[in-house]
Amino acid sequence: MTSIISAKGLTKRYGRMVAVDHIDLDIPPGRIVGLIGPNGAGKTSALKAILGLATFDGELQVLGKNPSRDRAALMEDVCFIADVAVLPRWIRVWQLIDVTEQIHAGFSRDKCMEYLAHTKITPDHKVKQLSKGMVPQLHLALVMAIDARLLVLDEPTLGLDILYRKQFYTSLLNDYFDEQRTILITTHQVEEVEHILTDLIFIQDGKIALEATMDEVEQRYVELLVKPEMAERARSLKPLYERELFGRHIFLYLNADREQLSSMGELHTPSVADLFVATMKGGKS
Amino acid sequence: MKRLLALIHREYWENKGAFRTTPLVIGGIYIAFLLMSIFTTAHIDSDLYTFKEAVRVMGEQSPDFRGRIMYNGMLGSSVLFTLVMSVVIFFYLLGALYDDRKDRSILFWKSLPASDTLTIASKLLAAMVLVPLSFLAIMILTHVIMSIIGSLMVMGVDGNPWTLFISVFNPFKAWGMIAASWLAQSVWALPLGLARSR
Repeated sequence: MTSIISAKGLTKRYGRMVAVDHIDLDIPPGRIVGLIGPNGAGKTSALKAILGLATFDGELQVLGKNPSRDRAALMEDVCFIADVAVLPRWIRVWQLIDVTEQIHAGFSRDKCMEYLAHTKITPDHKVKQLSKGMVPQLHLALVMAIDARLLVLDEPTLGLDILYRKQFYTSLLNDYFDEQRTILITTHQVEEVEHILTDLIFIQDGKIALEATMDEVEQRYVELLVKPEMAERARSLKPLYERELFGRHIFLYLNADREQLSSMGELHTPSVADLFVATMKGGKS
Repeated sequence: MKRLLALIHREYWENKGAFRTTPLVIGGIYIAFLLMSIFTTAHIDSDLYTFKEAVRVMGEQSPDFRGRIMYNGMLGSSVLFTLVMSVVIFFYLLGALYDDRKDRSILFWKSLPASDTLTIASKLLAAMVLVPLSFLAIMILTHVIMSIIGSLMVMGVDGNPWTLFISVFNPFKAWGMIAASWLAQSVWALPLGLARSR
């Protein structure tokens, strides 16, 4: 299978500042990839390059096309939701559906109406009349009705309440995702996406800090929960990261001997959020 | 082509107030002024004496002269449409590329498979063709309504509007002249529009 996104030495500079620093990427079809990094790590710059919204240096192919040259052609097979509220505020829902249908060959009006039937949105609503949670619902209904091969979501649920967020990811997973499609998500709300991701990419200071499938993460990383008296011994085994919670010490190890560890305390698979914190702190020292 | 039309349609939806409501208001003002003058005259003028005299004097002129009056009257009444239209187009073009960036909806429009060239073409065509057509159609409608009111008035004093002022000239010549001048204007201004889109 050919890759959906492949980058070699992808670099984005703003004047002297390097936002994305020689990144290599290879994302095959049928994955849900989480691109996770702190603010200013270069996530948005990388996404902009992938979506043809900005120029870049280095090699980058999305679905075999050069995004900055063939953006219009690329958008036949790529959809993106860049932020929560980018739908034009003056437009009515039916106008939005009309214009998308005319411009997008792969758009199915029936599917879109079907998704909208589950919401309180009606065709006569103006976008500015919709509540904050309904706008992403509408955007998602539009995007899910497009037969695209790559869907890029940049902070799609920022500022929404937990009900809308859960529903957003549930419909994405149940009604949209399949082996042909690839989804690339950036978000700060790591806890909510970690169960749906198949691949993880951490990005820090414009460089990739970690790139692995979720299975690999599970195999490589382990978290150990020990009582304070065992802390010294656990520390001697060179953990990546240490923290304290309710008087217990928690250590994160990479490629450690699990049998040796399990004799000291409880073993867990680390959450993506903990792994993220550990990786970012580790990278700094 | 389908995409271009969809994009132009979008410009119309977004600017319906400027493109459609504004000329309707101008037409409404002309008609309101006409009705007001009729009612004031009817109120002051006993038995519409002055109006009858005006119709009589007008009837004594040569058809050629009456035709020139009508033709020039039509061109004259287009002035307000022309002035307001140029203001509408100016502000439309001023905001056309900026508003999408301001409310960040550019990120939605750029997620559609329409090239930047096509998007700019749609905005340029909206300014050069769509707005003048909309203003022209509503101006013609205004002229027709005013002529109907005028005809009813003339008929009210036993005159014949057809021979008095309708058959004496070709209104399409006036409308064609106005449309041609608008088109010439927008072609003259085209370099400005292109310079802005850079």
